[in-house]
Amino acid sequence: MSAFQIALDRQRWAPGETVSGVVTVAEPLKSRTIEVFLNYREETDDYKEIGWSAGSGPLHEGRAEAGQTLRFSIQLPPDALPAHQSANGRLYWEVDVKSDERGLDTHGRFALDVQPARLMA
Amino acid sequence: MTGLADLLGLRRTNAFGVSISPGQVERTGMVAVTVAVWQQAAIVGEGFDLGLVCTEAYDFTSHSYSSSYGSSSRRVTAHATAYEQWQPLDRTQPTQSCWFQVADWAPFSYRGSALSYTWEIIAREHRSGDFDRVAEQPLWVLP
Repeated sequence: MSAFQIALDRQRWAPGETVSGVVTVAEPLKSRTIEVFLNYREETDDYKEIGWSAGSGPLHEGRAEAGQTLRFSIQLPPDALPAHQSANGRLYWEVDVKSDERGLDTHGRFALDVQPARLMA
Repeated sequence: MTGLADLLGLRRTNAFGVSISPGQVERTGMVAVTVAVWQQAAIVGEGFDLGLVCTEAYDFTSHSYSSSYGSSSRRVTAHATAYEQWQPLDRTQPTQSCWFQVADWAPFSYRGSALSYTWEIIAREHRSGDFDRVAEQPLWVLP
């Protein structure tokens, strides 16, 4: 089970729009800070890279309690690309909720649907 | 940027050439291609055709073993054709015009660290037992 739950204000987003939603902390965390990132990821069988990323800035500082909610908003770039899957790799968007902690950080990663503007009209 | 000709070791030619308009197109959009044949006598291969090709470049880990150095692994880039459409050309025509439509499900142009998609229009003279001769133009495909 993820340490976070997320509720986006919409299911589908267009380039240049501001993605917004609410993160709910699902379990107590010894966080130093909690921040949300939008990542455009590249993935092959052996490698994962981040092609573009933007963060919300710290939404919370210090220990986090279960049930705590954090609202965030992050703007997509105007030339944001959609997802694509091919035979040997894929490109996709994710919302990464990161709890910065001593030792290993805790992440909650969620799919984000970004479509070309011409398909959103 | 590595094109299909470089990947396949094809030979570029001065016997024919291609030009395209526009150089950037959205998926589902049309690309106009003009093929000019400058040296008809130099086109001696069995086939002469025109392609719209997207090449996928993807990184993977290559593992190897040698008795001297033991196991090793390194990051390498492989290539595969992600999309292609071909149509025949007439070598006797000094110029000919063709159209391609980019499929809505095809990849869009992308240059990444582990994964890239590169598009080009390529005119190809196929020669059995010899390197194909090619002329190409890059194309940028938007989502």
